[in-house]
Amino acid sequence: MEFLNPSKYAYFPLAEWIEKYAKDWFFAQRPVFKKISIPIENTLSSLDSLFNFIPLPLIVLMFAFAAYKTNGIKFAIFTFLSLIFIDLVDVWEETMTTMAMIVTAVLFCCVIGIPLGIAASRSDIFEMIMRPILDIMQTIPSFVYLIPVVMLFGVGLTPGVIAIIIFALAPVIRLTNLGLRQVTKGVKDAGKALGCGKIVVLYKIELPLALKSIMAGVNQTLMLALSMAVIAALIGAGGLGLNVYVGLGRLDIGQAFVGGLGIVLIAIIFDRITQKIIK
Amino acid sequence: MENIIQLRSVNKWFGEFHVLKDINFSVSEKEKVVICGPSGSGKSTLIRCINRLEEHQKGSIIVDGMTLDENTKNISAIRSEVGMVFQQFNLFPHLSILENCTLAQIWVKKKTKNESEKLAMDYLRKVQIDDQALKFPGQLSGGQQQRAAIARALCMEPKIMLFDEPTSALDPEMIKEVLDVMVDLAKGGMTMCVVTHEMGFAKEVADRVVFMDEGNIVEEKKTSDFFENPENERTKLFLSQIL
Repeated sequence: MEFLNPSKYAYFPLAEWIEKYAKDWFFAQRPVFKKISIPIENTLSSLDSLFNFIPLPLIVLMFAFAAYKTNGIKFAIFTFLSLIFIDLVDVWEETMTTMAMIVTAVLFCCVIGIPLGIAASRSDIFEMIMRPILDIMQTIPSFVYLIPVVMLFGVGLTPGVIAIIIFALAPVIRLTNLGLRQVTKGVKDAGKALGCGKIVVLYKIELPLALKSIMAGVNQTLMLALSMAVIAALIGAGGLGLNVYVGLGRLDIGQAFVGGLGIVLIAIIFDRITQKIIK
Repeated sequence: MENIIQLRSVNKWFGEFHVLKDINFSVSEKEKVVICGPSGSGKSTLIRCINRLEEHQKGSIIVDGMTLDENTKNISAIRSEVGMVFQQFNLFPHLSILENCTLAQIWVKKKTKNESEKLAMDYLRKVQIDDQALKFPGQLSGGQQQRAAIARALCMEPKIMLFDEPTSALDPEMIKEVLDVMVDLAKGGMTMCVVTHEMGFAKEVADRVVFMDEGNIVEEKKTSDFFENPENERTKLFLSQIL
């Protein structure tokens, strides 16, 4: 039956075409994309040096305090011990780098995502266009877009953060859109009837009412960003992900485990604190 | 007397559905008009057209000398002169009663916080919920919420007040406290357009009653004539059911 297989008679050179034409185009665009990444690079390097500049005990106390304020004494003790433990297993610096990456990524996800979510809530057409793009961003295997990211932005921390942003952007857009669409028409009408313009209605009525939903989106974005930290190490991003990646390459279970544990611990801390802020 | 609201052959469609059919309607200054009719007759749509919460497709609407059209400046000018009270109160749930009353004063009229709070407290006192000023809408009873909504609209010092079935969502024992506030307002000389089924209120304060059915103004008369000699069969039927 093999004679029925189409590939016996013809070949469609999609892979070659992409390799030949798209690659050239990507390389040609590199200077433009390098410029785009400058704000990300600046934020990242200043956050990284900030986190590494603040003395370790101070950071531990700050997090423990935030944990106490939001979740009470038990979680504060957990946070305190976790961070001490991270330093005891000697991945403190990597953890700070990962934190700088995650915070930068989430920051830019908000800066990009919230306005896009607002736009999607205003226009059904824009929402219709955004939806498949967001689906693609979330479901496409991240290894696939790591290649174009490297071609456009090179390797290193910044391209790693860009890959994280692409992967983690969707929830904040979706939940901003959803939250704004759930604001009842009556409340918006009341604002309009009082003479409020579109901007006042948005900032003073709609966004405050959608805040819970938006913050839930930010929380999910944060979690996705953390889960992407390891994959970003493939293209030269440092931090805890690098430990995992290097450990994997050398079959060094210990190193990989320590890196993974660090990510899990800061994920738990970030998640609990932001969850409580939402409420 | 000059007409402060003037509608000339206004038509409106929701998709295929013809909601308002060639409506001619006017309200003069300080007049109180009650609009009644069966549900789905277009009465809410009619008053929502007056501050352009709904757009009409044909005809003209002139409010206080300004024509309602695409011109956004006119719309916000008209909206700040026309207060509206809704069936579902529509208070801002994330703000205290006081903040509900100051929001538009601060952001639309550009008043200072102190000025707007002072005026807000004056109106809240007038509707007798000044002691609830710092509570949130969810903590108040329906009647209190509706009175707060009336105070919120009054804080913009409107020339005209529109009421869209203000008592329909209330428990029976709370209807009176809201109607009392509205009667006071009417006696104070406010121009009012009220969509309501409260015929007692209509008899007490309305100068004129308008009866609508299926997008038409079927009958329009002075209040006493309306109740004593309704001419149209549909009006008679409606009155016999409601009184």
